[in-house]
Amino acid sequence: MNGANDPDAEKEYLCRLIQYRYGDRLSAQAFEEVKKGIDGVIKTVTALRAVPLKNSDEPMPRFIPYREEG
Amino acid sequence: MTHSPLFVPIRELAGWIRSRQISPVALAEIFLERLEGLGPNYNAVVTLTRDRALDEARSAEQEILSGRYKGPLHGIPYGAKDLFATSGGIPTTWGAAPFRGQTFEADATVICRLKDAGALLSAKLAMVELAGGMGYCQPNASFTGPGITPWDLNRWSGGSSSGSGSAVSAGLVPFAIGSETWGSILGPASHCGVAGLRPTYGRVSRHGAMALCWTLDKVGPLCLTADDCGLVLESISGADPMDPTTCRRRFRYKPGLKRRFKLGVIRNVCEGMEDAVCANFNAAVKVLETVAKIQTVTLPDLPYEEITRTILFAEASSAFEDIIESGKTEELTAPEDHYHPLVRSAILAKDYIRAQRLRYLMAREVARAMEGLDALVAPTRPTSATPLDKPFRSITGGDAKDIMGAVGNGAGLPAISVPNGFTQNGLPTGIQFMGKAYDENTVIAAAHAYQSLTGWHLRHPPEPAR
Repeated sequence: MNGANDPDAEKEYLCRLIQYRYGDRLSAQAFEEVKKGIDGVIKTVTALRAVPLKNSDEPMPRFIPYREEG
Repeated sequence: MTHSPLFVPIRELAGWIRSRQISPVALAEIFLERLEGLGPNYNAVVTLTRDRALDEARSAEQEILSGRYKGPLHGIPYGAKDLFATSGGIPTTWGAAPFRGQTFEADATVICRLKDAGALLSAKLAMVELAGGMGYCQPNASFTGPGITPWDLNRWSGGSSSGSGSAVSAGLVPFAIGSETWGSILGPASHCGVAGLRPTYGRVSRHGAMALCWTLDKVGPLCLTADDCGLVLESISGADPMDPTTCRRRFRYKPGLKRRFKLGVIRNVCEGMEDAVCANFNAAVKVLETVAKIQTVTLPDLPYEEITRTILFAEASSAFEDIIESGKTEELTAPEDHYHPLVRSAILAKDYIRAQRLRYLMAREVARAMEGLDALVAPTRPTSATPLDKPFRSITGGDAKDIMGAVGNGAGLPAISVPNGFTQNGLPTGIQFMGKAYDENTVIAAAHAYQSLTGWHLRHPPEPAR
């Protein structure tokens, strides 16, 4: 399986990212909770990625160009 | 005045004020005394705004005496969730220890609108720290302590508009303002046995309100009745140049709306919920059959909760980036709020954008499912108020989905919750009516019709000893 489609590999990379960025303030117990949280993120995004989208399916919030009055 | 003003709906109180049976100053004194004396029982009040309330009451009194009556909120005391900015040195704490001394120079738009309507700001009300945006999973998640429902002092008020729910329920204020990103108005309304209205996204300005999630945050009232929610919404809604997402169409409340409704119930909506919640919902549907045609609705298979959750987590992660990166989250009350926010930084940009694309799909599919219907109805919460010392997400075994919450908030749809019964332990449960975008009048009318057939909203919690 390609790493980009392997949830376990993605989980490991994301956990390492959190460890790298915030490891100095995470106890071992807190890091275990973070791992559970990353599990949840992976499950969530896996469900999102399973829905096919067409090129024409745009994001909900539309960008509106800004201009000052006058 | 011949009767007590406690637990009297705004419409009736307004009549007493207009006909000078009670003065705004006397009314303010009564509710200030209750906020101060009873508020601590429920951890409901952060700051009592006595001076401001009495100043506004004296102004209201003068205006009314000189024939300048402004409308149904003139002279009515209220409380605001402590995430709305208030001027005059009144702290706005966001429920979070690191911000307990925070002040702003100007009032939030919703506070300005209520001042213009003549309402009296009497208290800043307690809330879950940062409106629950850090991922709390148990009630003790505010520097003012866990919010407590007036129906059982060992049970949670719901969150994040905890004090707004408990203060209305206990008769500490005639109405309160809360906010909802996902469940924060409807949840406390259900656990505290009051009416709570989540308006359409953009109906009420978010300017001056703490941002949790820019595309999900809504501002709305908690009141004793659905009718009162309509009165308050009319005063606080409308376009605001300071919030470009506000809708230009001003909401006009139509209280006389009477007709036979068409209501939908999502198939298996009670699955995984507490027995009493299901029983009360089924009984409520039977009552509604006298004023509505009810049909079962099937929603297409989409990851509704995942869509809204991803948007919420990603935006909250950015909205609070400064306090997450600085480590200020370590000062928050709930231990899980120290590390949960770190997890959200693992959401990829492409997944957030995918969620926003799916959100459009979700909004279209739900609009299609609601064609020919006035509203969808469902239990407001899967459980009654949970114990103060228990994680609320584990109570039902985590099986109950919140499709209505995910869809309603994700698609920005209005919903109102009103009480629909009690558990054997005497805890209230709620039924929600979720309507089409900008159709608050219909959901209020349907909830009002239900309240005119039932008396659950006429029950009030026992008064604790002082």
